[in-house]
Amino acid sequence: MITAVINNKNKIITELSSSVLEKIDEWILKFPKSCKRSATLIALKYAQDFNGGFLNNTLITDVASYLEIPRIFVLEVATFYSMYHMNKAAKYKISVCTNITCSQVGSKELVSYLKGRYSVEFGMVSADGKVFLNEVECLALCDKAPLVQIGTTYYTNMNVNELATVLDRLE
Amino acid sequence: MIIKDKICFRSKDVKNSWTLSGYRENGGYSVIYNIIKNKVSAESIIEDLKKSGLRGRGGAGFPTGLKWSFFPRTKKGQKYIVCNSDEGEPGTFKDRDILYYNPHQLIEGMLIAGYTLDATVGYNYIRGEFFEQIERMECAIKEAYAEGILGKNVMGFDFSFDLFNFFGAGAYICGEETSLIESLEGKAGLPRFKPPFPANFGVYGQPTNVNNTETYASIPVILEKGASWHASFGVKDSAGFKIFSVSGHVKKPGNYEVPLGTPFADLLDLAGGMRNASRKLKAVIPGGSSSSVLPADIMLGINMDFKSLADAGSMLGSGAVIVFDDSTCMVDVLYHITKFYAEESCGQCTPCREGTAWMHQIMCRLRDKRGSIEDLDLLNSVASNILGNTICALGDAAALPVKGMLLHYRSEFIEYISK
Repeated sequence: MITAVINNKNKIITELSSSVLEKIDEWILKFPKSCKRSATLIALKYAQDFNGGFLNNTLITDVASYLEIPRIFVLEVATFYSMYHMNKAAKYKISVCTNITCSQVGSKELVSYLKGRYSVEFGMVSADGKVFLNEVECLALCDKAPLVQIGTTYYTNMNVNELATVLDRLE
Repeated sequence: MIIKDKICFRSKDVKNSWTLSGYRENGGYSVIYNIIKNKVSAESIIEDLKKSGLRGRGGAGFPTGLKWSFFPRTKKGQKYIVCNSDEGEPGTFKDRDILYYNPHQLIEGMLIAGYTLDATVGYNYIRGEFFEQIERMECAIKEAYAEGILGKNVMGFDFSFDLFNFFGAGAYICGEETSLIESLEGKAGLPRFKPPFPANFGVYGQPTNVNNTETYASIPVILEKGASWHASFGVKDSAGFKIFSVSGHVKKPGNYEVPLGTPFADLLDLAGGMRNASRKLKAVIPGGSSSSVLPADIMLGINMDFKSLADAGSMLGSGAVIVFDDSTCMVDVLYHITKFYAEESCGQCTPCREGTAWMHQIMCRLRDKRGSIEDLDLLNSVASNILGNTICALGDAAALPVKGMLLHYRSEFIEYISK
C-alpha cells in the first residue's frame, strides 16, 4: 500500500510505502540522532526492492525527502554502488561474475549462452522485458565457480545445461 | 598431518555452530565474561595481543596489538569498533564462512575490543551481496541481545555494548577502511587521506578501531588459550593460523585454516591437487588479485607466510590462493584483472582513475590482437606511474599485479601478440 507522508505544511514529501518507511525508521535507530544520512544505502535498497528491483528519479527524491538530506547526496549513492540499478525495468535480474577464478573455470560459456538466449549485452534488458543481464565482480563464491545470480539466489557450480534448465523453470 | 581449524573454524563439527547454544558448546562467551568479571586491564589484553603476534588478517597484516595500543582509549567521547566484513578481494571467501558458521565468535571478538578500547558501539560492515551471511549475522545479534550478551549491562556487568550490522551495496573500494567509514556515514565510498587515521578520526569524526572479520574472530581463542599458545604456531613474524581461500584449477576448492608458514605444496595437497590430472601447475596468485602472480617453480618452493611471499616479490594479502594449470592464458587473466580495477576505481584521484582505465584499455587491444610489443612497455609504465601516487592502496593493488605479470610472463605476452 502506498502511503503519502505529509509534512506540517500539508505538503506530500514522499510516496514510499509504509512498509519501506517502517524499515528505514528501524535502521535510523542504529545511528546517532543527527546522522540519518547513514541510512541512505539501506533506504535505497528497500525502495529498490519494493519497486521490482530498480530505482528511478522519484524514489531518489522520496528517499532524500524522508531522510531530510539534499537530493544530490542520495543520487551520489545510487550511482556509486553497483547493486543499485536506475531507470530500468525487468522481471529478473541475472548477474554473472567474470572475475579471475570464474573466468578461468567456465563463466565465459555461461555469458555467451545468456547473451545468445536473451539477445542482450551486459547492462541491457531483453526485448520482452523479462531479463536484465548484469556483469558483476567477485562475489566471494570462487570455490563454487562459475556461478549465476538470479535475484538474491546464487546458482553455483553452473554449466550451460544446468543454467538452461534453471532458466526454463523461471519463465 | 597438518594442524587445521583451531581458531575461526574450531567449531566446524559442532551441530548448529552458528547458534548461541552451538557457540556455547565450545565455551563461547566465557572469555569476555571472565575478562569483565576479573576486571582484566586493557593494558594486559593489549600486551597479550602483542605477544601473540597476531597480525591483521584482512590483507595489510598490521600487528593487531600495536594497532590497539595506538588507540586513544582514554579519550572522552563516543568511540567505535568497526568490523570490515566487506570481503571483496577477488579470490577471497574466508570471512563469508566465518559470518555464516561462526558469527558469535566475531561478536565476542568485537565485545572484547569494545571493552579494551572503551567503545560502546560497534558496526559490522557486511558486503551487500552476502544475503545468507547477513541473515545469520542478524540472527546471531538478535540472540545475543535476547540473552543480555549485547546491549546495556553486558551479562549483567557495568559495561554496555551495542552492535549493529551495516550492509554495503556493491563496491570493492569499501573494503578500504576510510572508504568503509564514508559508506557507514551514508556517502559514496571515496577514501580519505591518512593521516588522520581512523583511530583518531573515524566514524562521524570519532576514534574508530577497524579490523577484519578474521582478526576479531581470532581474538577470543587467542585470549582463552594464551599468547604463547598462539605464537607457538606459524613462523617468525607470522604467528598463528590463516584461512586460505583456495580456488581455480584444484580438485577441492575451499577454505583451509592452517598455520602460517605452511608450504604451498602442502596447501595444494589439502585442496586435492590439480583438478585435471593431465595438466601441470603453471602459476599461482597467492594473496588475492592485488598480489603479483608467481610461476609454479617459484610457488612450489614457497611457504605461506608474510616474509616468504614478500621476498618472492608478491604478498600474503588476504590469503586468496588462485591456482592456474597450463591450460591458462596469462594474457586473458591479466585482461580480467585490469577490468576489475578499472571497474572498481572510485574515480577520486587521477593516477588511479585514468591509470586503471588506461591499463584495461591496453589489455583489451592486446587480448583482441590489436596491440603491439610497445604496448607492453606502455602498460608497465602506466602501472609504475600509479604506484605510490594515489590516495589509497587501490592504485597500488591495480598496478602490482600488472607489473608482476609482465615480469614473469613477458615472453608469453610477446608470443600472443606475435601470433
